[in-house]
Amino acid sequence: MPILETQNLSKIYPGAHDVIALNQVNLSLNKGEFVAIVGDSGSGKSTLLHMLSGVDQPTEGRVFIQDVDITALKENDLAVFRRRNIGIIYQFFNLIPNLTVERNILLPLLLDQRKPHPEYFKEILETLGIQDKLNRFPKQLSGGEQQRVAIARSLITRPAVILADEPTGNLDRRNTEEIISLFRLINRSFQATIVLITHDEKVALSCQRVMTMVDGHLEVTS
Amino acid sequence: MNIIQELSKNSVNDDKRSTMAIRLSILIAVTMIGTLLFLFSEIDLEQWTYEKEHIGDYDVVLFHFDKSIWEHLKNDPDIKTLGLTVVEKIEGLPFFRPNIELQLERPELFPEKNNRLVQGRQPTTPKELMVSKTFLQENSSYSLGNSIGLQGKTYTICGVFEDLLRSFDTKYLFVGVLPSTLDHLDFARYETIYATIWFQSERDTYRKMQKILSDLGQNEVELLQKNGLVYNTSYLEGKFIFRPIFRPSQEFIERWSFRSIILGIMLLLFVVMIYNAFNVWNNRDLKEIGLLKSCGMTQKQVKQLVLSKAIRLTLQPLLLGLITSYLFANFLTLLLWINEKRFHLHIGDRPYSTRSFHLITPNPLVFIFLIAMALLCVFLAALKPAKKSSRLSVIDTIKNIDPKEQKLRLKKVSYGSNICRNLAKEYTTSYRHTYNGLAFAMALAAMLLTFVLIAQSHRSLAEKYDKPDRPYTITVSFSRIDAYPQEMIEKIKQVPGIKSFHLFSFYEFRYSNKQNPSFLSDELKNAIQDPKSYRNSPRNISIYGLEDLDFEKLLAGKNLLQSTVVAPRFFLLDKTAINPRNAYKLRHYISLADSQTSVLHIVNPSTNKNIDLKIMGRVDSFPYDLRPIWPEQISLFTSMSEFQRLIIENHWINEDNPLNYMLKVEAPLAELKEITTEVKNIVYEYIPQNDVYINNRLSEMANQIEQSQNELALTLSAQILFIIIGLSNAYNSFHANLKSSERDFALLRSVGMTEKQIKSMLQYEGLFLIQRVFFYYIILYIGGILVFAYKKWIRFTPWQLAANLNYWILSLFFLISCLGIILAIESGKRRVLRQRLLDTLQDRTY
Repeated sequence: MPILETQNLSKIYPGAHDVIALNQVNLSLNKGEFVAIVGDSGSGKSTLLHMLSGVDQPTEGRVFIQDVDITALKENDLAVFRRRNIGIIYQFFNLIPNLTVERNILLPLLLDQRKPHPEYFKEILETLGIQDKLNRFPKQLSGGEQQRVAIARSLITRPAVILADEPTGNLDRRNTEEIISLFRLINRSFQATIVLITHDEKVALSCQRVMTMVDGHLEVTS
Repeated sequence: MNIIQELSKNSVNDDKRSTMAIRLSILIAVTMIGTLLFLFSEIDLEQWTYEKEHIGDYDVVLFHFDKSIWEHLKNDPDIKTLGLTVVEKIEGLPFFRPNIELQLERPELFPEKNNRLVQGRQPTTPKELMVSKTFLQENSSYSLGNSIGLQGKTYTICGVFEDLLRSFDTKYLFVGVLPSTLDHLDFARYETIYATIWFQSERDTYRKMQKILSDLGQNEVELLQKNGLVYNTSYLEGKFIFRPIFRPSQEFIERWSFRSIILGIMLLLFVVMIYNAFNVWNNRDLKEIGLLKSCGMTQKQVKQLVLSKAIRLTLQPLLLGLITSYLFANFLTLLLWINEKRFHLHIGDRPYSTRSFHLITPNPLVFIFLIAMALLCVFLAALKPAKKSSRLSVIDTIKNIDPKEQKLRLKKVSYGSNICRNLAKEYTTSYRHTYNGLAFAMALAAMLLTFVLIAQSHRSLAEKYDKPDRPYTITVSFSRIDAYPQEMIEKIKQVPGIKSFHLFSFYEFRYSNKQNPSFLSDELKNAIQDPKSYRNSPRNISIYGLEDLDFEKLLAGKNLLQSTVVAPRFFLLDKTAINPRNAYKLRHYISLADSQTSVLHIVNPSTNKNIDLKIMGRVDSFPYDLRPIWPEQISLFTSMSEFQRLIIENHWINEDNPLNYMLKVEAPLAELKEITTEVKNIVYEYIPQNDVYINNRLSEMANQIEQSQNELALTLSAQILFIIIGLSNAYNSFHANLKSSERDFALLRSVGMTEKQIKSMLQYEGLFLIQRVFFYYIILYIGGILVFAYKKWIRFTPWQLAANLNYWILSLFFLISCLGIILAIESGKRRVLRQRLLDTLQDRTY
């Protein structure tokens, strides 16, 4: 059973000339897959990610995560579902500036008024190498460290899927390689299902599967 | 602490400068509103306490009833306490004054603190009496503790109270206690009898009384009109108990309508100020909210977060504001008390003593109301940003896109035009919501200040135009039941320094249109019937007796000789204001009486028969400017000898209805004090002090100076507060808005905008903001002047009020507000130029 599935997903922006950002996208991911989606600028990669994370609504089609049709959920239920089942990492501005690293990581649990599993939490920290940074604030971290914290947050609820929108777009080559290594590590260690949007071919080739967005269509490349 | 509380706490603590600015605005607003409420509360409390002490805390008084009504009232379970007062006149007693009014009351009616008691105590048994101080002074065989016999009964004098008997009063007042059982009380025996009622539940006074009257078959409205029923309205309204359904008295409505307008505008200003500052501040956090939503924060949690931030911002300044408003209110009353102390004088012939200063009563209702209002205002101010934040799309916030579809007012690109001005214009258009809010808040603050200045303008116009010319600087009023002592007048004439003086007397009758159908002029009749006019029919006829010499001069002026005049004949003041609501000196006058009218009919109060007053001539001003021309009065003038003959021969004068004389003296201000003393000494030789009242222009002037100093203190305080509000509001909101658009400036710099161009752009933004402020202000100003001028108690046109406004103060306010904007521009400019371009553009602004 796929952990993530889309059925004829389309997104059209109405206007003087309608913009078809997504056109009948059908995607199916199994648990533990590490998938990259590449494409030119404006091809619809980020739009697809927004549909998968539930932060935007499609014009047509459905998105299923763990058999739950998230496109049919009301906003409140969707927010709760997202905090429990989806982890999101952005290129910029991933962390709340006024919260410590620890709080940033635990944020989805805190919103749910749940406590973390201490051992699982420790494992995440050690895997990402940020155990000594818990009491710091985002402004005290480098770009790479901030992305690690973002990744840690995305893992804390043991989500069904982790969605990353150009997570290395703001990083230098060394940090990029480190982050991608971490993604591979958490994919292996935590069986995390990861969808990674990137324009960087090298980053894409680090993933198990690569799909290409071309003018709103999704094609499997490798 | 849960995560939402932690997020709001961190957000508030993170940006201390902006937090401080918002808190300062809230503090000033709470201080302002609280000060006003404390002052209102203290004024009302003092008034209410005074009335409670001097009039009583009863609910209602019922007059003219018999034993059956008494029995009904006695058995009514809704009545907590029932007091009874009976008054009996006893005549022909062997005292200096032969009559007494014996007032017997139930003990419940004796006040706890009797301010008039000078010796002894109040009576507690039916065998005791309180007598007046004058009685003991005039009947030296009696003193405190003695026995006194009245109508076969013996009483002990247990107390002495202060009284003010006039020389011609023939009766003393004695006060005693009714027996506890009233079964044998002969209700028919007493001239006056009334019941004083306290209900179990004060709130039900009106309802219960209406029920009682209905059970007794009596009509409440008729009783009220005949003064057979009197509610203790001021006392009850002081506790917010009104006639059903919420029918407060006219006085209450007028007092609170003005207060409500001021408070309403201040609360609106409060809400707008908080909304502006908070909205801009919240907009900076939108990205953060977007991220939180992407992590799974629900709409409800977002609203809680925004509201929590608002409450955190508010609590500290709110609590501090309670204290500062109480302190500031006390400071203002201290200033007023110092003024009162500085300007106290002898008024009349009794020394004027100032009360000691006391702190304002910390009325808990004021605290509760203030807290509730402040929290409500903050809630209202934060509600819109909370809703907006909760509904925002995650993508839009993270990508910093404003989702509101705006109408783009794009202009044609013009090369060579002032790019800084154009950009500033487009910028203020894009952020017009924020700029409109800021401009409106500043305009409101200016408007509140303007209200204070309008009130000041009205007072100074009233001082100048609403008082008749009064050449006389000393006024002596005395009452008699016979003719005045001529010798006294001759002596006063000899006092050096007096320029002129006139003695006159007056007596009033009711005017009846039915008796005088053709008396009024057509002009006046039309004015009375005109629904748009404020003109009413005359109510009184006043006959004035002028000194014979003065009357002769009047006759001479009309080419009439006293010898040719068949008395009693009268001059009529044939002039009346068409609109009495105008200021006195700005009124237009019309003829009072029809030109053919030569007689005015009145009813003889002794015989109820008609008397014809023959009019021999007309005057168009009050002779010798002795009195103003009152719109609802018909004034007739005759000689003093004829006047006295008419009044005294017809037995219209008695101790209950004495003749009132007035002596008006014109003396120079430099010698006024000495001349007043001399006049006073002469008057006291002939007329007992209790029968006389003397005052001079000096006490009036002292009161005026005191009043204007008080006004100065109050308006200065208000001005300072409003100026601080204007300044802080301008600085906070403008500065906060600049801060939230840092990225825009970073982009402009990245494409090559110089420091000078950025500064110019900011200056233009400031200019457009100021233009908006003036625009809103002018609309509010015109509206405010019109509202003020058309309230029924205002006497001047909008233009008169506007022309007399203290524009210096207003200009100072705007100047300082502009200063606030300039300071914000400078601060904003420094901030914009200090930032690292790359960090700002890449949003690395941790």
